[in-house]
Amino acid sequence: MDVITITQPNQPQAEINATLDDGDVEMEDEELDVDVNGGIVDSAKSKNDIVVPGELITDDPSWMRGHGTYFLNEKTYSAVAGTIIRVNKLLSVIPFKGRYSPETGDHIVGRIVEVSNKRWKVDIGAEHDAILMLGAVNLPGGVLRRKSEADELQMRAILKEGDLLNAEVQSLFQDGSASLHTRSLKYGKLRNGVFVVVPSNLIIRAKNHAHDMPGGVSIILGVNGFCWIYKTKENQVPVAGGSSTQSKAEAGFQAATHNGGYTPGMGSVSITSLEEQSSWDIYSDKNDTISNSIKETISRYKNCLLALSHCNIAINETRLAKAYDISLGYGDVNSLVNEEVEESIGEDLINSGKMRGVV
Amino acid sequence: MDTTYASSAVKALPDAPVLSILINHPPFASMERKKRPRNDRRLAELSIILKRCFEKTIMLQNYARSVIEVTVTILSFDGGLLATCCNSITLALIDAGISLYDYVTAVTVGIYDQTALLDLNSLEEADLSFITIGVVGDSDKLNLILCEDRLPLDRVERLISLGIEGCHRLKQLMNETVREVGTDLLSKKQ
Repeated sequence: MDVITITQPNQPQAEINATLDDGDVEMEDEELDVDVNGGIVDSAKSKNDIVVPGELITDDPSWMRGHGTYFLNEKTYSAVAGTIIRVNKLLSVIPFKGRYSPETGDHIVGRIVEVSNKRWKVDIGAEHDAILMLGAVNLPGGVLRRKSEADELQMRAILKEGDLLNAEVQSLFQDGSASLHTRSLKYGKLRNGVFVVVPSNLIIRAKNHAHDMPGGVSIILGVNGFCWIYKTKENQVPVAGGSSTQSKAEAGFQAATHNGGYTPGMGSVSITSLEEQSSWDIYSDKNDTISNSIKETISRYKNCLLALSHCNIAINETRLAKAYDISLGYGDVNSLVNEEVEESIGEDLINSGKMRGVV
Repeated sequence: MDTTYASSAVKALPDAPVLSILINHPPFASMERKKRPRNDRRLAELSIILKRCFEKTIMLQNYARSVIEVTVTILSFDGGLLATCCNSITLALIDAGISLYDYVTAVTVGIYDQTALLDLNSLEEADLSFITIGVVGDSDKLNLILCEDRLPLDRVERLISLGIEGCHRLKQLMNETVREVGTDLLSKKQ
């Protein structure tokens, strides 16, 4: 710290005041404002105030300093280019871009990079690889059972290097790296689709990140910017009201005989060896047969996703569906990789949003 | 990329962050086509200077157990190599969302007779004495200085003060661009 001292930027006081006030979304702390700003007049109220590295945020030492800030000589400065977020008395700056920083509960897509002692290392596009413990996956042969030594020995049969999976961030370690879990039937290994990477800051956080899109295609928009576009699973097990374990097993059996693939809920009752067999299908490496038209739809969605990311438009499923509709007017799937086409799709999307009053 | 270097450094101190800077100067970048050896000593020296400079600028304490790799490729060379690398690295780091204490801007200042000149091209660099200086933000602090020629001592102070002014102007320009890009990104967000 002895190396750098920074003089106060020669910007007008009004602007500094403006940066102090970011129209807090999380809390309605109008009374608090008067309190902590200590007489500084709120001249302008804008929601997103942009700061750059080295810019003075406040000289009031009573603020708590969060991510993206640093403290020098009783003054708080920004360390990244981004917008100020204020929660009560905590000031932090969220960078415009940057690597994904995991948060508990995030639905993400990742790729296995290493199999090691009772855990997998997963590349999730963050600063550190995430960890998926053997105990945090659905083990073959029954949804809930304890891991055994046999499982430890055949970890590669479950997930191996290069496999893609979707998972949820279970917890965070001290250094910011994540621990994942896939203990739900909506998580697990990914098949029947294509992997797309977009910048993580473009993904809009939502309640649900897995969507069925028009055209027989489903998509997982991982919060970390890794996306998976795949054929919608067929023959979803019919949820019969008050179904006994017997009927569940039967449904699973029927589904298995129909398409020979994995269906959710299939492994939930493991009473026969067939059940055990089919639950391995969760970790199967074989794709189902996918018709050419579905493949084309998947490619079109992929190109639409890339077009949105090329135009830096934030992505959610409604926008992607709209971009898909727009792209149909631009002819063949392969023409969508053209930069000009990508840009005009983005423009059309923004304009169509403006006309309806929402983007 | 530069993984061998990184891994050896990681071994030395397991938790310490590593910053590695690599400069590529392809044959087509200069005026006359010239193939450079892979481990050009001059480029290696520049990358060490830049590494020292940015180790003090990046908030490395936030990046324990990680490697920050910066690769600069020169596409067209006409003087001011170190200064341009420094400026582009600053912008790249900001774009990557890496925590910095402040901008580092650099510029070359040369002396022609009694006149100080900012930002020399390669012909001027060949004939005139010059220094490269890097300034932290809007302050007068230098965290990069390189002088490879003989200079009259009584002129140095004037050169440096002109250089600092040049750097401040550069910082202003960078600042405007960063804000512009940021505003554009925000406008398309929600």
